[in-house]
Amino acid sequence: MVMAAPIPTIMDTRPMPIDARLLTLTQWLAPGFPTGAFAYSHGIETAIHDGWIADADGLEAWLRDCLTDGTGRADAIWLRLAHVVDDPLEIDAKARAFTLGHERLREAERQGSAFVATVNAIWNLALPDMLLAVAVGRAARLAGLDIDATVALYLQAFVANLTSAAIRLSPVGQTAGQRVILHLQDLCLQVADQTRGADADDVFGNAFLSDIAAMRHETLEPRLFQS
Amino acid sequence: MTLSAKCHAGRNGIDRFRTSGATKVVFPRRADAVEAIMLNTSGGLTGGDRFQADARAGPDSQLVLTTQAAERAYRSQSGTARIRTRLSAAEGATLHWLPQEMIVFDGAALDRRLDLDVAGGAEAVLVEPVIFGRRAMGETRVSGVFRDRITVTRGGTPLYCDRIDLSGLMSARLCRPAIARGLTALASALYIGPRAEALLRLVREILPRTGGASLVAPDFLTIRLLAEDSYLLRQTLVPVLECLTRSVLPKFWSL
Repeated sequence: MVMAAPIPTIMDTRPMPIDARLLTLTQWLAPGFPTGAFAYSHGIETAIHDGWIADADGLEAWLRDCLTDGTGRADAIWLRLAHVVDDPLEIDAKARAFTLGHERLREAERQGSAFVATVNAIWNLALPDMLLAVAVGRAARLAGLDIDATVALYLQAFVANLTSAAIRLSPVGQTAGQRVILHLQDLCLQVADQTRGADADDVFGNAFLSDIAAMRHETLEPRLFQS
Repeated sequence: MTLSAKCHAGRNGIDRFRTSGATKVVFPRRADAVEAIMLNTSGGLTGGDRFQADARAGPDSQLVLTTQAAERAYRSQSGTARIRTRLSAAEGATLHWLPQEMIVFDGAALDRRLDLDVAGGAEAVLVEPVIFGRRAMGETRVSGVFRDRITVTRGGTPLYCDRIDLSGLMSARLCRPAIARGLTALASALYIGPRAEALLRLVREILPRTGGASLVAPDFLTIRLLAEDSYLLRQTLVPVLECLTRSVLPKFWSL
């Protein structure tokens, strides 16, 4: 998997529209937005500890599965549903029932609450506490943000956050980490595209070892991350 | 199949029982619970098959369900085999759902749904082991459809939902690093009841690195386990289930 991914936009000379809403979206999903994302590794700390992720290629392959078969795909669907339904708390309850493990739930819960607190304070929304993906989907709807862009950027933020965790845990260097994020760009767009029109019955979770690593993280010592 | 157990004057007995089609049920004599051993007399599942099981543990009763042998999902010529299972445990009841492995053969098309409703004050143990191709028989290529859904509710409110969809070339997907690293035996197990927290510690001591346990709620323990084959899966699963059920497993479950 050492092949260089083509840079998808380099030959694309179409105008790239930009407006304030896109800037709002990148503000929400930037690593500096105070959700505390840096504290969560989504089980990657265990996977690195056990040698399941040993380098940048290993990280890329692992994240690929998280996007197609794990939390990435599931979150994309929750985000889309929260964007269209009347009552996002209904989606929140379903997303909670689907979260397989204590730390996984806490990771989504705490980031969601922090996201909600900030957007409520700054954008004058009145969102209740919800899991992160549900909260972002709902906030995007209320702010009139494009849902396809929101999903793709959310997935890339997920990948970038976990890459940054792997860099801090040291099997992946800074430059190699950016390559991983670039290589997964197409997949973020694909998953965003494939989840269009999906409903709660289409959510599945096949990333068994990712889930197991997250469960085993609860007893991992010593540890840097909360998940 | 429809089955319900009741408890009268401290004794467990069959309340209602009806079966049709290929499902046969044997009830071994047992003082502490109603034990039902299910058997698919057709010898396996194939496209178009429909199986439905409804089992209820009435108030304060103890109901144990298992299967006489591993079930087989064979190559489907056309259509999908559907299995629908509805389980419920009423107040004060104990329900154990302990089927043996489902073996998924190349070309199988299987869609399963299991719904479990647990009343307050009831206890439930559930396991679903699945083997994707028998490795010892050289069955390393497995493709087809495998959809599996487990939903747990409490008095109708959703508590837990787990859905697996491994359709396509399953053996290749199972080789993926965050999926199964080539391990082909998978088990999901749940415990709902007052001992969840104490069980978490006990179960963690038994699980290998390819198994995880966590509390999704104070009374809800979830376990996911992978192993190379069904024998190695049982080596872990049997002690885990004995721990969850506080009893010796039905005899077909021996290693």
